[in-house]
Amino acid sequence: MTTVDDIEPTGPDDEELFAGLHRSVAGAAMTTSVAEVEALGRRARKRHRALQAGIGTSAAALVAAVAVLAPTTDGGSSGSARGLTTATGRPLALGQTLNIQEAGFSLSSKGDGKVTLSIKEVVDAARIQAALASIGISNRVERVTVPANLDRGVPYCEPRSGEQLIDPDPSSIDNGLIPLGRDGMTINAAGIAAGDVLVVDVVTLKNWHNDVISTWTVYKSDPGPCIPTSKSVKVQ
Amino acid sequence: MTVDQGSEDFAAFYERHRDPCFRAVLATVPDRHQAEELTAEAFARAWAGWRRLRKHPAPAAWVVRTALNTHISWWRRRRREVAWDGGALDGDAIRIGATGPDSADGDATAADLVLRAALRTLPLRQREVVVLRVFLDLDTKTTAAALGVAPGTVQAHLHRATKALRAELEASSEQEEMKR
Repeated sequence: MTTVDDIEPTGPDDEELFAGLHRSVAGAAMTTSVAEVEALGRRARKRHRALQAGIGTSAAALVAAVAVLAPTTDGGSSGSARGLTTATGRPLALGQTLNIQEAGFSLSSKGDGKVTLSIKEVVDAARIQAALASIGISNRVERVTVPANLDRGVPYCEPRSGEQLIDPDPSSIDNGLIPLGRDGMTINAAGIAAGDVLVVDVVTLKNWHNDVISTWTVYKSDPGPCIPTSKSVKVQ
Repeated sequence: MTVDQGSEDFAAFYERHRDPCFRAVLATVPDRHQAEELTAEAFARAWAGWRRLRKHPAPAAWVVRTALNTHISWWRRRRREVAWDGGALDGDAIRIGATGPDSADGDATAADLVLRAALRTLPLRQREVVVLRVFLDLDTKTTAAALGVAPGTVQAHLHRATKALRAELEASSEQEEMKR
């Protein structure tokens, strides 16, 4: 097995390769002025502040607050596939679309039984929880901040109580001062049985980029909060 | 520190690092205009958080890494919109020849484009290590600090990256030979 100690420092071949890379972009210069960059920065900061203040929330707001982690009452037998429901509790028919836009996140379904949750920023975890619950998914959404002593690698939640049914899916890695929503996480809600709990962890790493890693996992029952450990998980 | 002093400080940083950062980003994206947009966006975020970022061990590395990550976002959005021949692409890996010519990068030679395309086939972390070590000329320790990983990890990624780049270039060269 190759260890780090076995790795030789860069040799002549590597130097040649690096020189080639340098040559491939030699002379390229940026034309954007510092004033233009500052203007871009001001706009981004304004958008970020507006988002934090909850401005821009669309009219498709949630109909009612739904108890978080409340057991479902769809009458299905334990272990049966769950049907999505509308905010009023009626089943979401196959083919029926869903589009909830809230500050910092959106929840949509094209009617194929799959739900796409896109989190740009966790302005309020309870709103995301309520949105998922409103379509019949028992869930826990939590923002996890990694302690300063876990400053390397990707943190991992302590093994939680409760049987894990679907492995964690690291859905996005965001970075920057303003965490960006990427594709979002596609959750096969139809495959989540009645009584199962979807857990969404939005983990902020304490590094210079404030990387945010969102993961989702399905448990047989609510596993409780995430307690980050130093054990790393491979994300790519 | 007053706001004006901060702005001046950022302006000096920008003037000093914009071209090296731009070149690092340009090496990893197929389009010059896109590279310029991504680099500008990353600098704009640096400006927005300059009070904190100015204490970073290598702010230019932060800018480049932000641009590369922004690129993923841009690329993933685009990937959904464009139907590609040859099946789905794996992650961020883009095979040589899967993209069109650098229409906005007329100065680049064919060899430059092959090399840059090979760089784009690397996994993100390896690409980050290469651009920080090669284009920003950071040492292993500073690269490790900028990426939040151990120096040994940087060495390991650089080792894998150079190996993969050489293999990719050899494969590309063999393909060229066969065409002739």
